[in-house]
Amino acid sequence: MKRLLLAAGALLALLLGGCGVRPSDVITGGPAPAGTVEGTRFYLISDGQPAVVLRGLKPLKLDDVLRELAAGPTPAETKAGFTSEVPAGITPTKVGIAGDGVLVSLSTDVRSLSVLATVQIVCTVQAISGPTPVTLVNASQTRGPLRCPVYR
Amino acid sequence: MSGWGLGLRGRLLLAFAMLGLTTTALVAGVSYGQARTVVLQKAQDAAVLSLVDEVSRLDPVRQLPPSEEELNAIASVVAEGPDAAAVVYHNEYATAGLDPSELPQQLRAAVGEGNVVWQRFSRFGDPTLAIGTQLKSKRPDGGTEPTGIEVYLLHPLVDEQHSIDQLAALAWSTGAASLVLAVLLALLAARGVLRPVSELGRAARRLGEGDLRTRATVRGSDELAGVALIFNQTAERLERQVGELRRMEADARRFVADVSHELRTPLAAMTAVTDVLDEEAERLPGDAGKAARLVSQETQNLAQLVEDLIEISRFDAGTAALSCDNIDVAAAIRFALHCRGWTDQVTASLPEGIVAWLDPRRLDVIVANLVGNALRHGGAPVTVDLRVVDGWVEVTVADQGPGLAPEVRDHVFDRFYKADSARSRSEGAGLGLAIALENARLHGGTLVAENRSPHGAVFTLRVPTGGNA
Repeated sequence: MKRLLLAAGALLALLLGGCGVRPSDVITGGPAPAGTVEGTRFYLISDGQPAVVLRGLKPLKLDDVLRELAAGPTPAETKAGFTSEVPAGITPTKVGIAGDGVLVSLSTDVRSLSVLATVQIVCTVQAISGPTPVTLVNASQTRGPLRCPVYR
Repeated sequence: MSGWGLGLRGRLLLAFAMLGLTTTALVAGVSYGQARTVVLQKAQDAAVLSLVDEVSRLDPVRQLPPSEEELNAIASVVAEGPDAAAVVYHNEYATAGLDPSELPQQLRAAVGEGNVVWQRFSRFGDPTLAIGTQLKSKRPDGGTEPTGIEVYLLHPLVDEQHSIDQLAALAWSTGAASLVLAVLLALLAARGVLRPVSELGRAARRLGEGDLRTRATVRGSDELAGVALIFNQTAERLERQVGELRRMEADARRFVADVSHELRTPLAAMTAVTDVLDEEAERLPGDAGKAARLVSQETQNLAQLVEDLIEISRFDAGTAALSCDNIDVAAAIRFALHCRGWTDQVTASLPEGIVAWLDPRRLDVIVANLVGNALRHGGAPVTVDLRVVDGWVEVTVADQGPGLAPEVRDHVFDRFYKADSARSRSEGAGLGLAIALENARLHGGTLVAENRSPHGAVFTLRVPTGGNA
């Protein structure tokens, strides 16, 4: 009998406690929505990860894009926390086609480029040239063919 | 449950109330929970869908990092109605009524994982839904990548809270109503059960008090009706058997009365004859004289027995009547002792001046029976005391004999009871004390037999001085 009363009390407490709208945990839904972007996509580094930035609408050739990339982040980008590991010495560059991929000839030692710098270059090139793999060359040194890890 | 000291009604009430409460609590609680989930889910899903729709239809982003104007534009598009919004890009943000620091940290952390996330939290005491999502960018190859822009929206859930509160109020009132209903039902059920039970109880009590014509009302055909039926059958059988016994007893008494009356006339003749025989006995030789005296003695005993039987019959038939008078009790007792020649054997303490409204003949019978009994069975000296106590005349007859054995004391007033069946052949039939008791009762008084320390029996007669009012 006492146990019955206890059970009734517990039920009542549960009813009283469960009333109204309670705070919840984080609920995860579907994938985040995607909007259209316009402009030339450059890949810089934010928090140790390659991240995209957009720089204007003017159509650029691949050579010019790589030159801009080598020039480093703009003041606004720096302010937002972006960095770049691409050395200024990669220019001048030449771009060609090699089989099913893009061949990018740099003016610097491609072996000495950091992984992030390589990713920046490859992703930026792929953003313009499409999903074909990119090979970096300098004289007889080659690196690649590579694909942008962001594209997967 | 039975140890709670509750009556049947209380137990029924409790059981019904518990049942009603538990059932309602379960049903109302479950449906309330379900309804709440549905209401909240609907509101949340609508808000999330609306945000996702709006974000995917934003104007194309042309600059990353975005300019302040661009962020503000996104924020103002997303925020609508009562909803507040914030747009965050790395360490910059634009706000439309929402400071990003207000957002739950968990939500901020979860947005980075690339899915739309939402969380309910309490903002200024109001339940609020916080939705967060990244803005991704479509790539020419069909894939998407994070732009680093995060959009947050706060959607107040006050309306939902209101409708949920209404649901709760409904659930509570349902519970209260069902409790009231349960109590009413319990009372009804208790009445349905208890009324026949209490009727049966009343009938049983009346039967116990001697009203053999009592019958219980039989209603319906349930178990209680069965009990009532059995009760009625039992009462009927009891009434019949008691009636039979009474009839037989009345028959027996009438028989005794009739026989006594029939014996009276021949006995009168025999007494007349034995009186003559008594006179002649002196002159009869030897055994013949002894026989004549014996016959005379036994005839007298028989006559006395018949007189006693007739007296008893009168009491039984209820025809014994008092013929009272204001009498001097002391004189009456003295006269009774004197008539029987007991004055020498009895120490009487009889204060003068006690007058009572009594039937002198019956007082004489009582005193004669008590004193005669004391002289026959008790030991000398026999004392007779008279006094008045609180409007009662009290006459005690005491002896110094062995007193009454317990088994004798219980039956000393029974008819034909003899303390020692072996020795009473010629000492009366055992009706004397029964007649004395009936006479005392007829006066509205009592007659009690007790033992006195150190030894001896005491018979105490108490009758009201004013007679039997």
